[in-house]
Amino acid sequence: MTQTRLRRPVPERTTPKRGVLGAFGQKEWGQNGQIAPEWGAQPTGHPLGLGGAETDTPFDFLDDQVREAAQVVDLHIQGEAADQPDTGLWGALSAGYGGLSGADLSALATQVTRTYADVAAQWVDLAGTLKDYLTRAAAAPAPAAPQGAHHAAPALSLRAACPVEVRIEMFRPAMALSAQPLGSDDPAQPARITEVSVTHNRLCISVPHDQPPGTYYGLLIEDGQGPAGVVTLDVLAEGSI
Amino acid sequence: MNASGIDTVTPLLEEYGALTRAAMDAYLPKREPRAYLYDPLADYPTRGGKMMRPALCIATACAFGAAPDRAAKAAAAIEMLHNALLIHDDIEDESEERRGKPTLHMLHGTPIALNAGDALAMLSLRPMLDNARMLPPPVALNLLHDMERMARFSAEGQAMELGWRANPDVSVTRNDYLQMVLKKTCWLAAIFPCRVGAMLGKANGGQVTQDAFIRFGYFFGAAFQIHDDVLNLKGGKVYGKESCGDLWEAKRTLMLIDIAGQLTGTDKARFDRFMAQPREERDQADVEWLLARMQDSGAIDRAFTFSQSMAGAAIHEFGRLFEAVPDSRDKTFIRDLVTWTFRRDH
Repeated sequence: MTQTRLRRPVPERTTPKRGVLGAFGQKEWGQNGQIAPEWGAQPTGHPLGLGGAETDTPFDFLDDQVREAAQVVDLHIQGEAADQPDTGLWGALSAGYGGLSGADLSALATQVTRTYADVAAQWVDLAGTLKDYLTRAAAAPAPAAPQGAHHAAPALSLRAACPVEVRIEMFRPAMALSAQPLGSDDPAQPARITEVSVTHNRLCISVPHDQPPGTYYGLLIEDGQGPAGVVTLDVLAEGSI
Repeated sequence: MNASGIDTVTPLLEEYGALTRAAMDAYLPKREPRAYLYDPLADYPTRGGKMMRPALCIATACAFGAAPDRAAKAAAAIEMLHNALLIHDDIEDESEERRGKPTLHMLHGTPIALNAGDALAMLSLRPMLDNARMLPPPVALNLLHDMERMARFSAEGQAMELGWRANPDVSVTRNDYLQMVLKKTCWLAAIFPCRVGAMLGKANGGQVTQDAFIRFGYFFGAAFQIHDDVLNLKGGKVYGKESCGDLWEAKRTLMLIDIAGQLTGTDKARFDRFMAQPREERDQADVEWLLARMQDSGAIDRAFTFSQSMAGAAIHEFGRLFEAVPDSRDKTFIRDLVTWTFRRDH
């Protein structure tokens, strides 16, 4: 078992990806965010003979009726945007996610309270670590996050016999939290982490020694108010650090 | 068939349709009360629809790097909700046939059909929640947010159409019609399935912008709906709903809006009288007259041409939207589904 603390850089906030293509993680397919040439514009080749993707301006090839029809959908999209912020639950969640539904998921990273543990099978109090982190985080508030949202993050007590990473992401300030058991993001993996609780604003997680490696999630619930945050715990394979 | 003469649509419709039916079957209860709830509830989903919506969802997920199984439950949820809304639509439209058989309320009466529709809509949440569980929480919440968004728009679109029917003297423009179609049809038929599929995709990490696929889904869904309206006037029994049912219902289609703006004098008076009548008081002579006027004036041909233009716009949007997506049979399927709309006769 190693005593080396795993440190990974907090992902940098990238510029918002407002375009349609920016939504689809092209970095997975190209280098440095560029689209690989072999995956460039595809010939549409449709049998209606109405042009293809090489046309720069949408609907140049179409008649006035379709151009007018396009205004219907553009107004719809603009109308939805004008309706923000939504005052309902989803609106609150979206706001808490730093504009998640506004397309910039990278803002999430700015709200992450992140800590790592590669510890022996004993309880480790990480509140001090969190306090240091939050002090730094407060100095650089996320543009899309509501002010003070990070104050809701609970302290963390962790018990694990294997290397793990824990992240607590808070959508909004919250009181009187409770925690769900952590379920795997792999639907074929039935094992869960059930010893999860919140006592006096302290999140306690005990990871069984034989917990299969993988990523486990659970919501932090504010009594009577619904989801307020997410706990993500990665059980790392031995020797992965 | 695509430009190369190869049918790229039917095989995937069948493959993904079978996958969706298998997933759906697991969520259709086989317990009591069967006669008055679970059997009627399972009726429409087992009648064999085109399965276009779930196939679009699975194909989009696959185009973005997921295996088909990953999107099967979401596809089942979409198909179940679609069928639930069909039950309600048939009651509201007073339709008598659905997919070649009597509508559910004709078989069991309106109260039982209404309750089965409610239950099916609620049940559709279960597979979606199960599918959402395999996603990171932020993406899962976004997916459920989108489901609420889609359901709200569908209800708003239906309300627009019901409102027009309740007020037959209200003037409806083509853009009013398109806005109604965008909300009532396009969100459930195309926008939502594509968005869910992309969220389930692996390559993009489930990240989907707020407005992604709306333009593509709008043009595609509108082309599909307008062509559906044209098919309804073709006559014969090849079409699932009763022939010319839209005319009997005085449904505001592009053709009806078109002809309403052209008629004058006694023809306009006859048209207004027809529109103001309850459905059961409309007679066949008036329906045949209206159909003939639509044919003679070219309203049906114009609507068909317009739907082709909308399909062209959809393909243009597809080219922009999927430009960076690697080629695959799923990507080809999505593109060719747009033109497949014009080959179907049902």
